[in-house]
Amino acid sequence: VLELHTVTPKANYSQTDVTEFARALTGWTIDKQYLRKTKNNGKAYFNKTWHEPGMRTILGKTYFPLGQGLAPIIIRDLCHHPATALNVATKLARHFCNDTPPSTLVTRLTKDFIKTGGNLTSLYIILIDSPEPWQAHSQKVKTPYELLTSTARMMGDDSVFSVRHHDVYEGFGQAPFKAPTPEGWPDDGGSWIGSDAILKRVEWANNIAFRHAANTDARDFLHHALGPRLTPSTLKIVEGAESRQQALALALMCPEFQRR
Amino acid sequence: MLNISRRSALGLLGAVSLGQIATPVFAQGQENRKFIFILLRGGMDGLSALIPDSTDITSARDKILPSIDTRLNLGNGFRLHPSFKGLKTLYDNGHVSFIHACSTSYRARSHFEAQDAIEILGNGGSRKGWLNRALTALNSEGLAIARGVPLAMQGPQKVKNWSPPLFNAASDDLLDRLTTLYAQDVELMTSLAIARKTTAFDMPRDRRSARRFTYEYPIPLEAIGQQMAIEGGPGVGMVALDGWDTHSNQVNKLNRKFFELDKGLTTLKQKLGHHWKQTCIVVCSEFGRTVSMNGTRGTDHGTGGLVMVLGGAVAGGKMKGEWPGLKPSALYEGRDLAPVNDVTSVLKGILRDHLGIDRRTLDQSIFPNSARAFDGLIRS
Repeated sequence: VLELHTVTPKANYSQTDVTEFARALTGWTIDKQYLRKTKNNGKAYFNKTWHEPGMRTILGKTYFPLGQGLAPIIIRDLCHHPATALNVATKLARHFCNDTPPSTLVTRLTKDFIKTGGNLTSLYIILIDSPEPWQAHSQKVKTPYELLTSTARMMGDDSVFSVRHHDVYEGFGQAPFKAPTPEGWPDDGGSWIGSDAILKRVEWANNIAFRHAANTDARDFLHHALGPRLTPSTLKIVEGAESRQQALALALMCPEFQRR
Repeated sequence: MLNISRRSALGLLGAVSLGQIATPVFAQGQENRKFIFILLRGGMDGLSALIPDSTDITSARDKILPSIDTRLNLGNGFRLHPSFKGLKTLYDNGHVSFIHACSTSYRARSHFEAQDAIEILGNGGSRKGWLNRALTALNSEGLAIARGVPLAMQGPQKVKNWSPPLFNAASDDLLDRLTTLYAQDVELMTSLAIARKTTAFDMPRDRRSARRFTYEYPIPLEAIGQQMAIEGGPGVGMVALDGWDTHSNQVNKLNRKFFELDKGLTTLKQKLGHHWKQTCIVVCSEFGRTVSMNGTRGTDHGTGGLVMVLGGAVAGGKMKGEWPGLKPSALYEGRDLAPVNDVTSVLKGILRDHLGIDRRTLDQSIFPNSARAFDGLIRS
C-alpha cells in the first residue's frame, strides 16, 4: 500500500511506519470461502479478535486506538498525502503522454489532486484540456493488449487470435494474469519492445499479413487506422513493398501503428 | 593462495561496482566464468531424481520408484533415476554435486509464491530478482532463454532474452525494410538491431522448434549454451523449464522429463565447448514433493528439494550439505523431506567463489539478511 499504491518511497517512510501500519491493519481479512455462499461472500471484513489494539504513529502522525475505524482513517490520510498526489499525477501523465512525462503537466495534476482532495474526474478534465497529451506524433509504444485490441478493431477479432491468445500474449511478454510483481504490468513503452518482443511482433504481423492480405489493402489499413498521423515516408515504404502481404506486415509494424 | 588474493582484490572492486563504474568487476581469471541458473517450475520431485537407499522411501512410495537394480548407483547411499545417464557420467568425472533437502525460507505450498521466493531471495528487501542484483554487482549483461524476462532476472540491470518464434520467422528482406521504416524511430530501430544480432547465431527459427521449445528441453538448453559460448557472450544466463508438477501418474512423466533434462544438460555441456571448465550450473525447483505417494500415483507439493550443481568449475562427485533422512519423525510437518539446507546459502557460496562477488555486496545488496555462504562447491 505504501510503496506502490499511495505515497511511494518518495515519502521517505521507515520500516517502523511499515510495521505500525501493518499492526493497524490487523483484523482486516477477506472471506476466503467466497466460492460458497456465506455472509461476507468474498468481501473484506474486520475480525476484532485478530486486531492488535494500541496507539499507532505513521508518517509522523499519531492515531488513537479506534479498532475497526483505524485503518480507513490511516488510508484516507495516506491518500491525501502530497506524495500520493505526485504518484497519481505521474502515473496519469505517463499513461497519456509518454514514458518520461512532462513535468509541467505532472505539476498541474499534482496541484489539482491536492486542491480537490483527489477528485479523479477533475484530473481527467485537466488531462483533456492540456496540450501535452495531444502531441501530433504518437509517443508511447503500445502494450501487447493495446496492439492486439487495436488490430482486432481494424481487422476483426478472429484475425488477431488465430493461435491461442495466451501464446501470443506470452510471446509479447504479457501473459494474462501473470504480472510479475504486485506493481502490475509496467506502463512505459520501453518495457514492451525489448529485442525478443519486437521480433515476436514482426513474426506475428507477418503471419496476420499472410492470412489477410487478400482482403485487406495495406493503404486502406493505414488510412483508416492512422488518419492524419500517417507520415508520407511510412506510406512510401509500405507502397514500395514487394507484395501485398509484405505491405500489410510493414503497415502493422510501422512506428505510427506500434505507438499510440 | 590464489583464492585469498582474488578475494581481497574483489573487496575493492565490489565497492566501486555500487557506484556504477563501467568496468566489470570480474577479477583476473574470472572474466570468462559462466554461471547458468536453471529453474524447474512446478516442483521437481527430487526424491525420484536422486533416490536414497532407504527402506523408509521404499515403504512410502514403492509403486512409483524405478526398481533398485535399474537405478544408477553413486555408491554413497544414493542412486540416480535411470534416465540420468549423462548426469551419472558427469558425476563420475567429478563435475556434479547434489544437495538434497534444500529449500528457500518459503514454507507454504503455492507454486507462484514459492517461485517468486526463489527468484527474489530478497528477504523482504526487494521485489526484483536476485540474478539482476548479481548482474548489477558484476556490471554484466545477462541472458534469459524465455518468453519475457523471468522475475529472477528483472531489475535495473539490462538483460537480453530470446525465445523461439511463435510463427515462422520473418524474412531478412522484411527486416531490412523495417529497418528503413524505423529510420526516424530510434527506440524501435535499436531494439530491432539488437534482435537481429541475437538471432544471427544459428538459432532455430521455425515454428516446429517453438513446439519443441515447449515440450522438449534440448532447445532452450542448447540455445543458452550456444549464446554463452560465443566470443564476448554473456557470463550469466537463466533458463526456466515448465512442467514438473506431477500430482498423478508421475512415473511415465518423470521418465520422460528426466530424460529430456539429462539430454538437455549434456547438449548444453557440448555447446559450451571449452567454456565448460569455467562453468557452474545450478538446477533447482521452487520446492520438493511429498515423501509419500498420493492416491493417484503422484506426489503433492512438499518442502525440501534437490539442488544440482554442475560444471567443469564445480568441486563435484559428492553429496553436499546435510541429509535429514526419511524416518517419520524427521519429516517436515510429518510429510516432507525436511528443508535442512538453504538455497540462498548455496547460491551465495557460488556467487562468491565462482563469480568472485565480495562478501559485503553479497550480504548487503544481493542476499540481505541471509545465512552464511555454503563453502566448497567450486574447485579452488
